[in-house]
Amino acid sequence: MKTIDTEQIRQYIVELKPEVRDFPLDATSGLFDAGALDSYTVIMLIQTLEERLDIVFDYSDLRAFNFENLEAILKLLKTKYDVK
Amino acid sequence: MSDLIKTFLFYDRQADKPIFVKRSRDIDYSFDGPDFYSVETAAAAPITASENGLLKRKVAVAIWLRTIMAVIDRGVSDDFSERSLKAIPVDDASRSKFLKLTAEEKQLLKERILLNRKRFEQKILAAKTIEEVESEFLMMRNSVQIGIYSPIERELRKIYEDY
Repeated sequence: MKTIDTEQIRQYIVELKPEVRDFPLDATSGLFDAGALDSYTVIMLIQTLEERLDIVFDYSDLRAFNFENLEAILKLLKTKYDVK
Repeated sequence: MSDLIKTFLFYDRQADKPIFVKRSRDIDYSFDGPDFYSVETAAAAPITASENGLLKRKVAVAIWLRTIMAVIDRGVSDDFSERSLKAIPVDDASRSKFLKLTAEEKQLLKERILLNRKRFEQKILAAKTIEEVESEFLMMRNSVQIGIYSPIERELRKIYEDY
């Protein structure tokens, strides 16, 4: 079973968009409002999470609110995808 | 959540070797190009073998497109759901007309999403060089058309502000 935390998710976003490294983001900061995610990077993040965590997202989970902050992403992964 | 995970294998037609693997529960990632084809299987995916960078990039971009269009389509379904429409204050006398109009609007939006997806996909699949693929990818990402129903409200607001 794969493990993850909000910092790791943040690192994945930084890999996709390096300037996010300097963004003052905490677990509940709005990723879209901060410009850390947009419709391009959110799809790339979905693919990255699938590859790194060996999961396949359900179509019904691909909604913006599930990706609105690091905590929401972590909650989705832990509650539905057996990630610790 | 669907337990069945499908695996889509993309093959280089000329070399007849796999170039890309995509797993999915619900989204249909089966599409073919003049120089590659896809096969849907329930089996575990083999390691990719072909070194054809152009084909790999084409498939990666087309997968991105299918995924975002599915997300946009999902957003339309949510916004036009019975629950969402109930929350809109419309008097009882006009409600049935309102529901008929919103059903038509939903249908139009979904058709437009499909049309846009096909249009973008054709351009990607027909690309002859990686530069062409990247250029089309940039167009797609920046396109207001793809944002006719952006999954990200912030982007949608930006589009409205710009106009």
